[in-house]
Amino acid sequence: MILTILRILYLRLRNNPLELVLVFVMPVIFFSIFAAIFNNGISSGSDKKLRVGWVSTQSTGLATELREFLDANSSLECSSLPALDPAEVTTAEGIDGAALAVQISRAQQSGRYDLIVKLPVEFPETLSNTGENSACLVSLVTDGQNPMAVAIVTSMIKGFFAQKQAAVVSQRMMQLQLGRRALPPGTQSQSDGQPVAIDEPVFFRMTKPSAVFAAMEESPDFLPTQIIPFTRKVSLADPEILVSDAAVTQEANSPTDEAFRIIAETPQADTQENPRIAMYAAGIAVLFLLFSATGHAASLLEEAESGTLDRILVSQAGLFQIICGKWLGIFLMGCLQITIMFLWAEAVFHIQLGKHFAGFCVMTTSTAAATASFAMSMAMICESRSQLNAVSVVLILSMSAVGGSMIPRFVMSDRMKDIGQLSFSAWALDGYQKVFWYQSPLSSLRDEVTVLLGSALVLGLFTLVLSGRLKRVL
Amino acid sequence: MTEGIKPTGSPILTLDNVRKSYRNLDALKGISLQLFPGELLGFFGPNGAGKTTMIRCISGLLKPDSGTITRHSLPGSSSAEGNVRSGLVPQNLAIYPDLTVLQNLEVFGRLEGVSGRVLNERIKEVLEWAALSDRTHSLTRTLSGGMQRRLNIACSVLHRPQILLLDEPTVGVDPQSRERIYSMLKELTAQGAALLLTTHQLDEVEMRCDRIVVMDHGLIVAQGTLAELVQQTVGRPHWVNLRFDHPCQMPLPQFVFDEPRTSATRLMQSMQELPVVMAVLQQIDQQPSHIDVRSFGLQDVFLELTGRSLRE
Repeated sequence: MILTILRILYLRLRNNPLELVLVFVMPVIFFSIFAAIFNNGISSGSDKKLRVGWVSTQSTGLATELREFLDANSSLECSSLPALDPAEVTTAEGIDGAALAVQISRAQQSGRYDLIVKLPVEFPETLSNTGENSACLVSLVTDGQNPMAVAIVTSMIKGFFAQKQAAVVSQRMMQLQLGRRALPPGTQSQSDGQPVAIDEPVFFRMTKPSAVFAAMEESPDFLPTQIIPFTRKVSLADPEILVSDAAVTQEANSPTDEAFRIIAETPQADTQENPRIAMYAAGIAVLFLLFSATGHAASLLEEAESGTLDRILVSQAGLFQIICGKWLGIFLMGCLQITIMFLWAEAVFHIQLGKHFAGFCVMTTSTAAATASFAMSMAMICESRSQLNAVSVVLILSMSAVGGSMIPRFVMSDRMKDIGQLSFSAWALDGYQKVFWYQSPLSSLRDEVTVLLGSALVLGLFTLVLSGRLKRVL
Repeated sequence: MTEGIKPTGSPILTLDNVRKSYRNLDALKGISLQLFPGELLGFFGPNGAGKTTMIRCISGLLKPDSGTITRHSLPGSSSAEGNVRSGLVPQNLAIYPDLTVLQNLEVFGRLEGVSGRVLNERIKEVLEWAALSDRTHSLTRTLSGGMQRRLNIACSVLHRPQILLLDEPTVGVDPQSRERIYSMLKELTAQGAALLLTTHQLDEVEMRCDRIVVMDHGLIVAQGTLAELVQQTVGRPHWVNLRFDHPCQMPLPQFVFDEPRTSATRLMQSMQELPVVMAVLQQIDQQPSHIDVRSFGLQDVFLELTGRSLRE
């Protein structure tokens, strides 16, 4: 008997190609999608690099060396930010003012940078040239999407300055010691008989070279380790260094003894609370919107199968009115669904819906329109509700995977991001990101709205063209 | 069957040489018929005969390849020609199972252009007509099969159609519900509505329909009252068979004997001919041991017209 039950299961599966696809092919498809995402993109065997943007208003020697240091790092992909249109650079404010902010903001919104290294106007020529009460300032501008980027680049820049510091200090120390103790030239100095490695790349607590020199001038026997002991002697590869953020959290302009200071800036987080939650809300809302929309569109196929559609068609309602009515219902349902999601996010997670209400309305109506047309066109293509269910699961999950509803798009390779643009999930999420994260003006949503409404229009027309086949059911 | 009502007056619907093909299949090969007000016209035929295609053509869901379908406005009616109200009762339950009875009636009434106070009044009438008043607020999916069938019909009459097309309206219902449905239909015909019904139930067509149309392979192979159909096909409506214990040596007028003359058969125009036959047998002193009398019905007509081979 058990064998017979098993046989029934087997026969039903064998006779149902769609179920076979769902059971055996879908997992493989999704494995491939996620593998492609996490393997740094389709047909790419290299590790994903951190994409670092570079913007410096002055080409000092130290800046050039820092840039070369970053360029040489194989785990970074360093490039200069695209230049602004000359007309946008006002001479009154200069590139370091509002224009620089615009340049950085655009670069962030392009999604092509995990982090931007910004060097200020007063960036020194050498590490020794830092002023009395100022540090060598490096700003890391991030949109917060890739939280690891700041820690990784911070540690690398610390490594750069550590090397520079070590070189400067050791060079001067040797000069002093050679002069006072007439030690032969070499790579070691003595302190209480203890050898001190001076050419070994180590992690110093970064004290200005000038302070070290002053101490050495006052006391011929002075060694940096006496007053500024090594807090740690760790390899740069030590993971612990990744969480060393003391320099990052200090105020940028406070008087300091430190030779350099790294500041992480997240412009988007300065003026709002919990903007990242808005992205999750949008991602989940769009995913479920697609499912609910196709579910509602499937009612059209149900009505065709049951004969209800025939009855409605015989009534005073024409096919055009039926299609439009269904579309409008799905559209309004979608708007309501997204709105409820964001209202909840505002109430519980304190996203600022009211502040971005106009952008929210634009993106929500565009997304709901595209979704409604997509769902209706799917219903027109499929022959039955069961077919629609199977096809929609495949398409929606695929679109959501590459579109960013399931996995943040910043972890994807550029190629995967480009593929994601084929799904309007990606366009919708990009739009919401601009509204809630980058706080961009409505005009910046032009591309997203154009694509979404264009999709809505094209798929809507496609639906109308195909709707005639509903009459031919039977 | 009801009295053999001959259609009188002006037809409300005329089909003239209607043809419809699907790819390689000729579904309708030139259908011509008329439907009269107050008439219940039964369409009968094997599966694939073209009944549903014809209903879809009449309802406007399909456009015929050729031929004309004309809806005639009734004398004194304000409806323009071709603007005669019609309703469709599909074969499946074309109602929303997750709406209540009242909600279903409301939405289908509105779709037919009935609204406001008129709709409320019609709904009340229709609920009583379909014996669903006590289930007004029940979800449709909780109703019995017969109730759902009645609601299925009720949703199509809220706008008081002059032509109602019913595609197998009594499939899967018990005899009581079927009786109720036909009494509902009879009320509609009494009000002047023309009903066109397809069914596989022979007894329904025989007993309920004023006229019968038999379709096969996209053609109307016969139409008329049952008596007319029997006359057209079998010849006479009654059949009598006499069996004798011993071979009957005497001739019996109009009887056909088999060998060895122990069984004789004849067709009768009327049952009143049977006493005459019995009198003749008594006169010739030939008493049959068994007498079988049978009246021909639609099944005989149908098999005569369409043959006995299985269809799709």
